[in-house]
Amino acid sequence: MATQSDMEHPPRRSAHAPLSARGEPYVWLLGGALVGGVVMIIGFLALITYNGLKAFWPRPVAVITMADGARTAGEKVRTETYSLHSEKKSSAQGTRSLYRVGNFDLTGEDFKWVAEPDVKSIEAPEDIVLVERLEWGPFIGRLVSASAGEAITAASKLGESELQDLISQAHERRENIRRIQRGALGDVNRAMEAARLSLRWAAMEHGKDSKEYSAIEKENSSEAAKLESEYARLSAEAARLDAEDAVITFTMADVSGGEKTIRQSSVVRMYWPNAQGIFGKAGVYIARWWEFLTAEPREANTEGGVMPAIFGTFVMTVMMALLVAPFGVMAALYLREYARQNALVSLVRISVNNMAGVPSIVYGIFGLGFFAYGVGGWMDGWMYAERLPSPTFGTGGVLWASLTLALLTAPVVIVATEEALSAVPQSAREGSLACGASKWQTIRYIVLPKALPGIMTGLILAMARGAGEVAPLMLVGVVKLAPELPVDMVFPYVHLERSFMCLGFHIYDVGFQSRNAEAGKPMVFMTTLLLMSVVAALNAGAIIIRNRLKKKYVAGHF
Amino acid sequence: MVEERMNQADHISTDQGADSPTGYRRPKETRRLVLVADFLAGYVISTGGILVIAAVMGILVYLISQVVPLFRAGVVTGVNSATRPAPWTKSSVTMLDEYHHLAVEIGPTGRIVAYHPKSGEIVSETKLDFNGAEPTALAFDKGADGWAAGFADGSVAFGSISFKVEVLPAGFDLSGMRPLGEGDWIGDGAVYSKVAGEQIRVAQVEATTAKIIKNRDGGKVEAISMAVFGRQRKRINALATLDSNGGLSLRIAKTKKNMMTGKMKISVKSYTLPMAPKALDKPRLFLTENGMDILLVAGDGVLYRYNVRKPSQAFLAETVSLTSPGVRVTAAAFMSGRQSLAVGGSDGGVGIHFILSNPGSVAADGYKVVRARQLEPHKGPVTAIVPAAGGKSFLTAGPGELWLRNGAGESVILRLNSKAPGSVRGLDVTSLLDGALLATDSGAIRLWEIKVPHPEASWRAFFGKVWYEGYKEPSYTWQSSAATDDFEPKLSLMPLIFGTLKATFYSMLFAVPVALLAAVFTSEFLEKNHRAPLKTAMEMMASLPSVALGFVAALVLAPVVERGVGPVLLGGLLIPLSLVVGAMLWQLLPQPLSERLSGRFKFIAIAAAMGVGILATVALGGIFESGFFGGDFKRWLTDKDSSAVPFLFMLFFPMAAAVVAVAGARYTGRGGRRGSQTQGGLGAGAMELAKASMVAISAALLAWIAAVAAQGAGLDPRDGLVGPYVQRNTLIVGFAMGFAVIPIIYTLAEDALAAVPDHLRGASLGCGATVWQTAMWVVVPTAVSGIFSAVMIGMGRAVGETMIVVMAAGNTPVMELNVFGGLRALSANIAVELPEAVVGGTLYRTLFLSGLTLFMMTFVINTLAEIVRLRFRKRFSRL
Repeated sequence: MATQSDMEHPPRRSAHAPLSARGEPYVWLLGGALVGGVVMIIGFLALITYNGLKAFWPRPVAVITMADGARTAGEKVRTETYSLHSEKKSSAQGTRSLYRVGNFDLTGEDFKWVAEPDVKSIEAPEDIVLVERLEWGPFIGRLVSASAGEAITAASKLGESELQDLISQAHERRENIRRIQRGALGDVNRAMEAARLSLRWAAMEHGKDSKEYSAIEKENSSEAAKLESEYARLSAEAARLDAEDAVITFTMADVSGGEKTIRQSSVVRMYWPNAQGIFGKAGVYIARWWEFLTAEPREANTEGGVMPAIFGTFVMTVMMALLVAPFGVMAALYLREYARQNALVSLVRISVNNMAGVPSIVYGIFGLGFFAYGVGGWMDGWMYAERLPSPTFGTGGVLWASLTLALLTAPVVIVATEEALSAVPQSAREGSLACGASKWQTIRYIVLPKALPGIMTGLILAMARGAGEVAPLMLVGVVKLAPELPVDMVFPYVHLERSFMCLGFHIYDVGFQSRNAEAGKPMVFMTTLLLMSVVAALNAGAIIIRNRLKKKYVAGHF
Repeated sequence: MVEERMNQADHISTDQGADSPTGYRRPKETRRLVLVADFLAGYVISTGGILVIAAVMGILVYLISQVVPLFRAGVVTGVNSATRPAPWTKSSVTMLDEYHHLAVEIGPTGRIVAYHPKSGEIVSETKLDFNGAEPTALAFDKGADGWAAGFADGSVAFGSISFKVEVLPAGFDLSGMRPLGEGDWIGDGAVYSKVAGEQIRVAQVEATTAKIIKNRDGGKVEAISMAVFGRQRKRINALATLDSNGGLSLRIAKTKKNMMTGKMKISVKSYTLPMAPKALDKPRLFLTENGMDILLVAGDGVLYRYNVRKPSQAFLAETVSLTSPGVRVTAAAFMSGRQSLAVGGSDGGVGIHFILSNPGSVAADGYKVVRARQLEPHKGPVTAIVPAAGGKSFLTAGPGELWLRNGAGESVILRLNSKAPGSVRGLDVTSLLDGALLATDSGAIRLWEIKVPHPEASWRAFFGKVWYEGYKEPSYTWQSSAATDDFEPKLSLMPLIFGTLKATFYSMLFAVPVALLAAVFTSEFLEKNHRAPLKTAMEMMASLPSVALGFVAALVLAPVVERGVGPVLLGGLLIPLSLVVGAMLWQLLPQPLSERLSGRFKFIAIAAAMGVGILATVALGGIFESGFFGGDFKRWLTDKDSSAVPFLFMLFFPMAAAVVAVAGARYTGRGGRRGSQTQGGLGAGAMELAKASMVAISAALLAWIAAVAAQGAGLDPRDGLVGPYVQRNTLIVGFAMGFAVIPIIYTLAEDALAAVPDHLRGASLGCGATVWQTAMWVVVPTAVSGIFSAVMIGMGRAVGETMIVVMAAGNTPVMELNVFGGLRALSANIAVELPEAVVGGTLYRTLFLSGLTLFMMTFVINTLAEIVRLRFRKRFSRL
């Protein structure tokens, strides 16, 4: 490069800086830090993605014959080395594998460690069937027969399609029973509860000796008889269906010969893991994903789906956005366009900035104390006194959760909106005003449209933060299992007082609070993957909008 | 300025309309609708905006409003004075029921008088059945509703006395009763009072004698104490007596309920204990929790402790003086739970004494009575001490004053003026601390309605060291709940604050170097077109749900690290080392070549060097662990016999390297540097490599010598910095939380660096500085305040992070420096305990206080960051 000219013009300086001035080792450390950061992030994402995506892929089932003749069957989960003598100072190491053996109702354990030296042989017979059940986890073994009352059909006479038919019929029966139990009986229960509450309300409002009270009492007593007979009829119907269903069973045998009769209607899915081809496996894989996304959780959340959690997260995030967007924008408009820019406003601005850094759990405490116990308790005393002491709004619920998160994200939205507003050139405002537009017209037609992408970015970032938040929600309304969704087909359709489930808490709950952490692990990975995808998608949206915005401003600067 | 212009704009009416080429005449007036809309918008936005900001700020106000009641002293809401007919003259025991409608006094002869404390009216009079004998000593166990009596012949009796409270439905006929005013009636030996919903509450006293244990040849019982323990179906009453001959005896009565018949069967075992010193003046006898010790307190302040854990082999374990010489014991009582003894002296002093396990003590059984707390003294002799049932609060009476105190806080919660005719004879306080009763021998009765909602709360309890029951010394302890009623909540926030700071420290230790170094590299050494995607990715990481990080840290990372702590530690040394070695090798390249490759290829080379470092770590991990730590690092942590030198060496090595490098640069002088200046490429590179190896070798030597010396000096990192390994530990939390804050610090620091104007860089490079020199001496110093603010904001995040610490920290509220130990942070504590806390209770408000603490911590950190950032911005506007 410059070497030649240097040579021509003595006294020459070295064109090259001394090595120590190049600081090569330091530069490498800097680079190393960046590489480390990137590797960690990629590793983390890869770990979640890999484990999440593979969790539902059917694994082969191994039938292990131990040295002592005992037989077990299970899916291999992982293999590890362990020190044989944990106490003595010896470095002897052995290898053992963890198998998911299922059959919890027969053996009392879901998982089993198998040490390598104890194994005599491992086979993968094709007739091993894996049954996912509503209760007790999976069953791994062989299908012996199917029976419908007296009629017994041996497994050998059942084709796969016939079996699937049996299972889908059983699902229909189960659905019927469920419809009665949860739907019709639920309606009757609700009506009875409503009658009881209206009577209690009348007693509190008018006193027990009043006309209104006796009128309601009279009305209720005629209603009650009807409801009770209806209730009896429906429960008899449910019991009859259940009894009918109870005799339609599969008889299964595990590999060591123990037999177990299971109801066909309790079978979620049945497949032959060792006999399936890639398409069969893919079918199971997709079916499991579908179940994950659309079904309700079972088995203390470690199996089934996360639909209520997805729905809860969605409802809460949307409500939060609806609450925070107008108020956040309003506050920012006030700060930037209406308030006099003096020391006080700068102080307020610094404080708002600071509030964005206040830990989310602090907002959670506030939400619980102020919203749920304070405002909610007051609302209960005022509007729902007849339901006390059981709280309606006086405990955590989706409204309080959304409000808490709206407060939590308000500083984010305010700061983002303010920044977007300040990026709108002053000349644009002045031009508008000079043309005779009023202040509001200027804001409405000139400032806001220009700031909109920035505001949207802030809002989407706030939604991403809200969707991924867990700690404050634990205090203000998230539960591990919500019997009812916050939005459903029962009047008034949106139940703001109900507690709900959310994805983030689901991860914590399944991973840390469940009976069997190992069984829940795939579920945790899946849920994490889902949550991260949601958050990442929201973030990506925000970043794309922002980058566009940047370009626009760089290009069209005044 | 802008506003003024805008406001003027509202009133402009245009005149140019007349000359419009289209002939359209614009109206001169602004349309009403526009004006109204403008006014409304201004009004709504200003009000709404101020409200939103107020709401956001209101959090602080609300938190404070919830915390303030904790520090309020107790208040007296009402005092009631009455006089009771026919007072006794001898001392007795007084009890007040929870609703303050009934008080009961047990006279020295076993006569039980129940009276209405507000009016002084006698409700009922009965007598305990002793077959005609007169008791010579009486004792009570309030928590267990039991009484015990001793007689002149050495016999003892015990039984129960309690308030029986029933609620009768509305409409109960009160016509035959005598009204007492304020909705109370007397009749049939009971007090009837109206409660909510027109219901009637009936309170009466129920007393039974369970057993009289005969003794034929004993002396007169001078003092008696009873402890009741065991379950409902199998109760044990332990009775200790002191007779006039100095004979101590212990009787253990087991009451078994027959499951079939429901009959009670009482079996008694009697033990004769060693003789007590004769002719003790005013002896008091106390039987400790579960009947383990007998404490005999003489009037002159000497305590004799008899160990009766094995009653047949009881012995005098210890003699200790409880008061200063010349001070007499005038009152003494166990606090609820029978673990601590409050002793009042004639000088007005009140001390609390614990029996502690103390293996080094002089006592024969390895226990020791210690005075744990000395409370604020009364003006004159303490006349009575009465504990509240449940909790650790108690009343002490001095001359004309009645103080409610709590065992944990050393201050007085509530001071009552108890000036009443006569001397104090009966005293009681309810377990809810809402009523206190005083009766004097002249028949005066005072009933205070009081309110002490948070007796355990005080600054000292939250932030100071408190000596709790069963603890060896004053300590910072958090333990908010336990299974028993006699439990004393320990609400020190210090372990939690410590946990928060510890987690923050380790996460920052990991995050700050990685994030800042990466940011400098990105902004100064990376090609421009690679920056944007990298930054985008990093920003996305910043909003990664922390629950995902916590889960991976606790369930995936923690087990892996547990299996290979040694390699992880080694990695901390080897990976930077491999980078430095890589750089040295890179310097061997001829300069034109290295310059041509300095872009993407160099980055790949750096990555490769890191990969080599990681591989080397994995490969050498086992050898390292067996060579340095005898094969198992975790065992080394607990095995104090093994050498600490290897670990100290690892600790000292980076420091030693820095020292040697700096010293080397100073003392080798310019000669070495000139050498590398004149040569390019291989020669200079080799020279640098040689120098670096010299530095490394001498640093290693120095570090080893220092380590040996330190061990010789008795320094062992296992006492503090490291210790027993738990799976979910600070290392894991530090890593996971560091992971969470790296993107934040990185992005903000990179922003600050990128904001340094390019003309500064240009000038520096133009003067002949290298890129490294420019970055180090021009760019970073310019951006340092921005970088500082980035670090502070990251720290604020780490302080308040909740889910990661909940999941990965083990949640043990301990105060130890140990990197491999667990911790409990303020935030995690709130998340774990708040859902179960009683609304408005002490724990609830304490958790609000910890929220407020957290708020303050982050607020200070963030404000600092913000101020520095604003200064930074101002400085930039001048550049």
